[in-house]
Amino acid sequence: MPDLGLEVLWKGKNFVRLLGGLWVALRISLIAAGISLVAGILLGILASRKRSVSSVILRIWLGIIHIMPQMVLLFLMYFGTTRAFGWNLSGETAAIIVFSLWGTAEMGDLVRGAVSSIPAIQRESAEALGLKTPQVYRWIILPQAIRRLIPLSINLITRMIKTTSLVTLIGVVEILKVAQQIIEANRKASPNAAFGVYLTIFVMYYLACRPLSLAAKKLEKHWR
Amino acid sequence: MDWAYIGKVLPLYGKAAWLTLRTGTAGILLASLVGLLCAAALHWRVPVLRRLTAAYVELSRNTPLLVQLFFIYYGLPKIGIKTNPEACGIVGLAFLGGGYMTEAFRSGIEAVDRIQEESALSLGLTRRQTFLHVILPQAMAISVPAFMANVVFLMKETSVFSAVSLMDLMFTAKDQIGLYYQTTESLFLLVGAYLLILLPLSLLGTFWERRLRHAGFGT
Amino acid sequence: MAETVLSISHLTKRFDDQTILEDLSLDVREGEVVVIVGSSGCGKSTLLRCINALEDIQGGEIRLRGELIRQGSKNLPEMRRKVGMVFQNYELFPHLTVLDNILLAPVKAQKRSREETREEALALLDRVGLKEKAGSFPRQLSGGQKQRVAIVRALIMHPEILLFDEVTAALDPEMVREVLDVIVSLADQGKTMLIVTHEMSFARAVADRIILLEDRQILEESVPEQFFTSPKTEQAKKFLQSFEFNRKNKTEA
Repeated sequence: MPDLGLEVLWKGKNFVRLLGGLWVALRISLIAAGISLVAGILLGILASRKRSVSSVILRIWLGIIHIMPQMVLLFLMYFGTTRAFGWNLSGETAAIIVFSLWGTAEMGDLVRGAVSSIPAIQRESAEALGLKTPQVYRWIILPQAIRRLIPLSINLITRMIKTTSLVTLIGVVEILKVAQQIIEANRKASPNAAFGVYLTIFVMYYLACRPLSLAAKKLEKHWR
Repeated sequence: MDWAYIGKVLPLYGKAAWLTLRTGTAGILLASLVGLLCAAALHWRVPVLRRLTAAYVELSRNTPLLVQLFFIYYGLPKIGIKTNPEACGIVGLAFLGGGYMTEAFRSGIEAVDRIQEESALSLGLTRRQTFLHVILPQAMAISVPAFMANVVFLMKETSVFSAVSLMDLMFTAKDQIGLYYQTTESLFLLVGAYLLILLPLSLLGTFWERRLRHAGFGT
Repeated sequence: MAETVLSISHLTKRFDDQTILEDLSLDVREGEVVVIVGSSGCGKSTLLRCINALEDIQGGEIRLRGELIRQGSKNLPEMRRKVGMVFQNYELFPHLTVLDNILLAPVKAQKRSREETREEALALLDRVGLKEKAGSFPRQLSGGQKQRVAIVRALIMHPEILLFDEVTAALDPEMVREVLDVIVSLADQGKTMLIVTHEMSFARAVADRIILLEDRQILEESVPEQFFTSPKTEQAKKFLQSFEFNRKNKTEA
């Protein structure tokens, strides 16, 4: 059996430190996801009316978010605001802002898509039955839209968790940074620590994301 | 804006953009190949391979590229698999992208009506001929939107290559900010370079999708 | 008596625990046109699909000129080439032109020369009145035109027998005629055919023999005149009545 450098995990508090690092990353994505869900739903409902100001804003916003790599957006927020406004944002704050801006646009688009994907005939037949507009939304449109929306939102959260790994590149001490510190500190005792530690992180991310994407897939099938 | 400075460092960014484009394209081509083979393995229900493929797709789609790159670049050499930064970037992108491309092609293949396959079989075509001449051409056309979305997504993902010391656009911008504090100019060049790469790709996707929709495929 | 082309004996087909066809036997002779009728879901289409081995079967056997047709056999593609099938929704290949739709199987599967087959394809298209559509894509054709192309696509293989699976069910009423006319002219040319249809007047005109499929089996089998004027079984009477409408309180003019 070759030395896989796994023993380093059980030394001292290394494993707990890694989990702590993962939590830093997860915390950023959960806060950003929370903001995105709420703001995105509001934006999406507003933008679901065709040719409204909010639908134009959403489209421009989405265009920018879609074309630029998240890494570039993070850079712009982290370095750019210091330069432009003299703010000295911490990496974590910059990340939360960027991911919220990104998530809100994506969520808004999902909500807009889900609401406008309900065929017009559904609304018309409900109105023909004598239902009023709020009742049409409450009983006809939203129940159908939410079914489409839930799996898609879960996927968005999964993507957000994966993307949070980038924050290590703007200096946030999260799981990858902790890993580097552990590997560095055990350079002599466990020269192969890099393999074991990065493998562990690989598995940890998988374990964090897989249940979510599985749930999304199941719900999608279930509600089709 | 310090235009003299921009003029001075422009070749540097040009070189970095070329690296991003080169490694990105290589990775995407490799990912497409992997995706096609995996989708075929799933379609043909190749006994063991099918399980392995499904596991690979889940693994690649549920982990971040950055973590995959760290594992390939820093982890694998410890068990004797060494790569240079550029090869690592390409392989990492192919590993990640292969999973996404598999999904794109697989859903394209699944979207072809089963009775189309039966209709070809009833004409006496073999299973292989049916797959090559009837299912695959239709599946490819259906896959175009998902494929192009993946291409843009993967090209954007190359922005983490600097983490494995590839001297790409992010690396160059960060380096310049650190060295000369020309933040505005560096960010301007960074955004400009990515726009030059990504905007045409994204427009190409929209254009291609429109043409196919106009041609009325899938109906 | 003409030679038997298709011979189905003791065929049983089940989906999970539901029996669709049970111990069904049927022979079709050369040049004969057999029409199968029956209520929806009685297994007519399934029977045709079994003959092309698109379904696995749980009992009995199907032979074409004495040779077995069954799933998993090595020569299945070769056997299928001898059975022409036309589907309800045409199933033309959307990515190929009309001509390429017709040429795909003869060129790829039968390895015939493209040039020679092309001549034949154009001649056949001419006969169904679609020669000028050879370069069109399926999406540019009407339903009736698509179905005529699908018939040509089956004919060019020179099949021993043609199977028609409710080929007018998806068509607008005004297009039904053009497709049925083609089938009638094929009958006049002496092609062996097995036809599933809901068009009763067409069935009466084209059939040499009518078969009523009901309750997993063949319930009645007779020449058209007899079937439509004096059906033997209760089920056949009931089936024929389902095409008639009667109002009870109509005021006399």
